[in-house]
Amino acid sequence: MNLSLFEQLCADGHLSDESLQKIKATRSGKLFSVHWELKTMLYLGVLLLSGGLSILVYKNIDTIGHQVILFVIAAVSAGCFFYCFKKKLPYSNAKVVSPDSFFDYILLLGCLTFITFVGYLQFQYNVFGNRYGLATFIPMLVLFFMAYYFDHLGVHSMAITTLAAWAGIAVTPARILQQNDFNSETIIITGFLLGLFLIAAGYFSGAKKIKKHFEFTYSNFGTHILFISTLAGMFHFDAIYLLWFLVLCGISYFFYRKAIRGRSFYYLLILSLYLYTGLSYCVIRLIFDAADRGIGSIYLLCLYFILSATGLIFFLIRMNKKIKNL
Amino acid sequence: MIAYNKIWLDNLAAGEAIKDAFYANTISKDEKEVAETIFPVGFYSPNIFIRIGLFILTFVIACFSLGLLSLIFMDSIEQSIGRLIIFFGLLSYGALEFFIGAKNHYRSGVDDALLWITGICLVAGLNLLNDISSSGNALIIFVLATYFFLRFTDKLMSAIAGLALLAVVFFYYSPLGSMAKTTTPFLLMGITAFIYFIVKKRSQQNSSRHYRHCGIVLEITMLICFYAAANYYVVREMSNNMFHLGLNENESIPFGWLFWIFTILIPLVYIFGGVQKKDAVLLRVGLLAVAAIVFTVRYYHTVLPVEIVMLLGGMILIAVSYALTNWLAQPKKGFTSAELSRRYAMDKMNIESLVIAETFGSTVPANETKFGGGSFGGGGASGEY
Repeated sequence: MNLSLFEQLCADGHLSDESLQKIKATRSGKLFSVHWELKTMLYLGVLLLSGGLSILVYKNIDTIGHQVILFVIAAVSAGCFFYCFKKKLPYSNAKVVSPDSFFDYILLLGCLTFITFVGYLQFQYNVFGNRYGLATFIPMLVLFFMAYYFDHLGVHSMAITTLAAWAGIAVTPARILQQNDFNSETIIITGFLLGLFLIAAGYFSGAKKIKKHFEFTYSNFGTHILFISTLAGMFHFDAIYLLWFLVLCGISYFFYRKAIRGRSFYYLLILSLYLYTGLSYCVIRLIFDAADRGIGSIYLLCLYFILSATGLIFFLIRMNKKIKNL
Repeated sequence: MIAYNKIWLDNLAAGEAIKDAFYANTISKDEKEVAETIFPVGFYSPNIFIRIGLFILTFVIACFSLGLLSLIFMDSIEQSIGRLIIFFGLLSYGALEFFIGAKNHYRSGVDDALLWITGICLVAGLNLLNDISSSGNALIIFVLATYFFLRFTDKLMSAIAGLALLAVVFFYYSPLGSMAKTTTPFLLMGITAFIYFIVKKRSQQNSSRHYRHCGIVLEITMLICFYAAANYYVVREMSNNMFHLGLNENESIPFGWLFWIFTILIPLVYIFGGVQKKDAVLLRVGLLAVAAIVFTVRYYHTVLPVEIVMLLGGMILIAVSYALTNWLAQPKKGFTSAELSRRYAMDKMNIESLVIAETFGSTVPANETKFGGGSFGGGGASGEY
């Protein structure tokens, strides 16, 4: 920090002597915080421990030792949950601060080992038989319960991911493109409904003030799933793509209102980009569906992208100003 | 030399210092507001998400403009593509200067994108025109990145300039003979150390205050490169591949024992220095390098199966951070485990939860093909998401 800056401010009478003394005091007694270093180490530790346990089980399947390992995993998981139940502060619909800095990580370790445990039970003993839905449904319930009961955003995100896995899709913009065969109509419809459901859940969290800070996680996942499903719908249902485009416009308008209401630059950006993708798809289709498929249409396409992207830039710049001044 | 308005840059830094003081509870809200009016900043710097959007869209515009240009010159494209791309790079450089000079853009996404487009086009165009060797390319990139870094105080460009300089040294020095090949790592270590100390010294000086954020990035780059130049794995595999040594599995390189000592010693020196000087950069790079020790040792000597290493490592990490957090709950020797500034606290919490979903998402039991576990890669959350 620049001390001369504050001395100058003080000399000009913009800063009280008391404040200057405080600044000098904090500078001389400046503490070095290793908070985030320690947190990161703890997080990595949890990651390695749970990962190591999973690999250990995987490698020792069909040997005598695996039951011992299974027992150890169950014990670790139970121990973590026991610790959390003992330490936790009373439940409340508002945000509950964790009792100490390890609580969150112990809970995380407990949840991760629990998932390994359930996955192992299914793999080895086929506990849930062929009802694969159940094998993800039960961890999902447990995760949601833990997230709400102990107020943990990370576990909450994991619960939503499990919910999506249960519904049959991988919730990940990156992986949806690589793995998911979005040409399957059921998956598109499922994704669409799941997105709506998550957005509704986020809305109720906010409106009913039940863990209000979970709202962002719900709507964030919901928004991406909904937009991607709608785009996939556009690409897949060829005949009625303009209908899907209308749906996309409707959703975008909904999020536009939401972004303005919540002064959110983030939602503004993602809705702009998704809508732009949809619009560009329509324009490309229209250009190439037209009779002339020669070089002219490519010129047209380049011009469209240059002009539309410039337009969108001006739109974003204006919205930036608008939201800032709200 | 700097393209941006320097008075505004100073005012921006002053505003940051005032905000920090406010969040550290040393000055009152009134004082903060008064002080902020004294340091006006006229830059156009939108919110980070808008910046990302502008960055992407500027790239879209550039790509299709280039496409349009190539369409127009379609007939002679074979011969002129290199010149066309260089011309386009210069055009984009002009636009960059225009947006900064006339429109006061500063880290707005537009200037970031134009800077990258200029760099990519110039390098690509030169390569299309002539057949340029790796050493020549390293030299071109070094000159361009250094210019961009000095003129636009860009963090990433400073790192690229540093890396390109090391590449230049590597490509020009190592072919000089077998003696040169053996001494290349030592030369690189010397140069990185030299740059590190110069940067460290310069960033204290008032004259280089506008480059302070670049200084930190350069420090990190040089510390990592210094360790990489001394790491046994990097040196052995690099010399094996680049110099075609054709080493067998158990064969070592000249001075192999020395590099083993470096591999293990340097991270400890970093951490020790970081603790002693209270230097967060040194400390963090040192902690990262400890992980590199484990990987290097395990690559050549299968000491323990991987899951046991993970288990032990996990337990040690948890135990160490547990012990240190408790020990430093009361500040000792100027260290504390408490969080000092709440300014970015909200920010980090949300990001943390997304990181958890990202890394652990795939541990969901994925039975059969019907269920893909998922990891989440969506946008992050910031203070004003």
